This record gives sequence, C-alpha cells and structure tokens, in this order.
Amino acid sequence: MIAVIGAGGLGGPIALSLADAGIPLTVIDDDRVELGNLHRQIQFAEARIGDAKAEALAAVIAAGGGDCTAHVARWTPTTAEALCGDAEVIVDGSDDPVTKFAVARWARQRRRAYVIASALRYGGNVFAAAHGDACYACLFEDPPLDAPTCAQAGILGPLVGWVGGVAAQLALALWRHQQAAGASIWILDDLRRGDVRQLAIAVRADCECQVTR
Amino acid sequence: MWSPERIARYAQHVLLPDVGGRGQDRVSAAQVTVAIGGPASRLAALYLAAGGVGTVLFAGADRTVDETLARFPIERAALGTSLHAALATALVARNPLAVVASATDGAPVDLALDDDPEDAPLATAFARAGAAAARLLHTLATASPAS
Repeated sequence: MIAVIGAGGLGGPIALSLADAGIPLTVIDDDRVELGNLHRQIQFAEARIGDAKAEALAAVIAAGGGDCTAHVARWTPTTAEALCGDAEVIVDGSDDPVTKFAVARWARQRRRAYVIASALRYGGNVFAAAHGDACYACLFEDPPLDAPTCAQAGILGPLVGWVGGVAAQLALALWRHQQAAGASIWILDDLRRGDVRQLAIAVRADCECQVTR
Repeated sequence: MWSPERIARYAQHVLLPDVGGRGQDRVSAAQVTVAIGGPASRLAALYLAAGGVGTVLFAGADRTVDETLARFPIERAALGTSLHAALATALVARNPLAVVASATDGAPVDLALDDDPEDAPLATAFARAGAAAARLLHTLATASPAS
C-alpha cells in the first residue's frame, strides 16, 4: 500500500496515477473542497464543494475501479502510525512545509521510501529517497520559518498536474524497486523559463539522519 | 465581470505576478482548440477549463468510449457514449463558466500532444498535460491584446 498525504492539487494526480498503476492506496486529508481549489484540483466537480477531500478523491478512484481508503484526518507524527503505519511508500502532497519535514523524518525513521512534492506560483520540486539514502533534511535542513501557501502566493493551476505526475512516477519507481540509486530531487524552478533539472543529493554529515541512525 | 464567485474561483491565479485580474480576463476571453487524442490531451483540456479558459473546443474525430478508455474515471462513467460529450460534461461540471464544444473541421489547433497513447501510464499523462496546459495558460494570460 502507498499512503498519499493530501488529496488536493498534488494529491489528486498522485493518487489517480498510482491507482491507475494498480496500487492500493490510502489518502489522508482533513480539508474540505472549496471553490478556490477548483482551478487546479480537477479531480473534483463543483458539486463536491463542502465534501471532505479524502472521501471525494477516494470516490473518484473507486469509480475508476481503483482501491483507495480515505482518512478524513490530519497527518501528524502522532496520528501517523494509525493512518499509514502499514504503508510501504509514503508520498506527501500537502501544502505545509512543517508536514513535509515531519513526513520525511517519520518515513526515514521507519525505513520507508518516500516522496515529497511541492508546488507554488510557477515552480515546484519533488524529492525522492529510499531507506539509507540522503534525507529531505540533508538537503533542506529545517522547515522555512515563513513559507507562503498556495492560498497566499498563488499557483498556476495546471502546474500541479506536472508536479503530481512526476511525484507519481518517482513513487512508482520506489514501489517497484526500480529507482536510480540514491536520493534525488526534480526541480522546475519556473515554467516560464527553463525546463526540469534532476539533481542527485548526497548525505550531509551533520544531518540528524547521520547523528541518530 | 468579477463576481464574488469568480474572484474566489480564480484567486490563486490573480495573486500571480504576470496574471492578475487582467491576465485572468484575457484567459476568460480566450478560445482554445485542443486536439483530443490520448489521456494527456484529455487531462490538458480539463486543466484549461478549470483554469478559466473561456471557450474550449475539441478537435479530432469523436469516438465511442470503450473498455480501453474505461480505466479513467470520467470515461468509465460514460461507457458506450460519445467521448467528446463525456469530456464536455466533465469540463462544465468542474467549471460552469467554461463554454465547451467540438471544433469545426480544419480549425487551427492550439494544443496537440504527440505520442499520447491510450495505454500510457497516467503519471506520464498528468506530467505532460500539466506542463503543456500551464505553459499555454501563461501565454494566454500574458498575451498582448489584439490590435
């Protein structure tokens, strides 16, 4: 089973893509569909406004013949074991940097492969690592103190399809144990300029993953 | 017209440098013809309509939704009926402000995705559709007005 945290702009394409590949899923989100989501969350028809995102997304996946369990709950390190303790791969498509760092740490401590996807304004990135690889904190160190959300800074709607699709590709590779060796990040700085770069990430010697492993 | 409903729907585009209210107005005034082929082209059409493109036209021959298409939720719900009609219904269900129709034969196409086979992984289709639709949407938002 793969757990997808967030059932919105990124979680939608990620979960639909993984379900299409025949993978059983758990989607976790405590949010409800709002009008302001619809410019990018194409999994939801307007009639879904007010519904729990996790349940609405799971219903779309079930309608397509997929296997998806919904948890209308907030993922935190405290709720994680109950929500996704049996997931082989964890994918974060939330809109919250603190959650992303917590997901990465939780997955690393439990020796699970994980993917962390982010998108804002005109750009995004997707980090992927398996057990023993460099970790998310090796690259980014600590959550940013004041990172804007999509609701604060805006986002070009279809960008989430691109970032979510890449995140699903990387999650599929991890699930199938077909990933290239080592942690990597895919970066689209700004879709108005340039294309995608893929960087290999080395372990940072003073990272908590090296000190506490 | 910027009704409260329209402001809420497009708020996260209006916040973007390059787009703003005027850019979103240009997107709403735009008419885009999408060549409907495989799954990436259909996802691109969904993203364009959701993103506010005023008129979305489908180019290419319509076909009946069969089992090959039924692995996608929208198409599965329309088994045995017209693909264009099913897609048009899905677009309008996501954004009632969008006008959707089939293009007239020979109309110039604004978005076409080559190598978009029906059996492509959906992850690949999402990545291609998102990139193509995002670039087109940005172009529409920033286009200088026709003189």
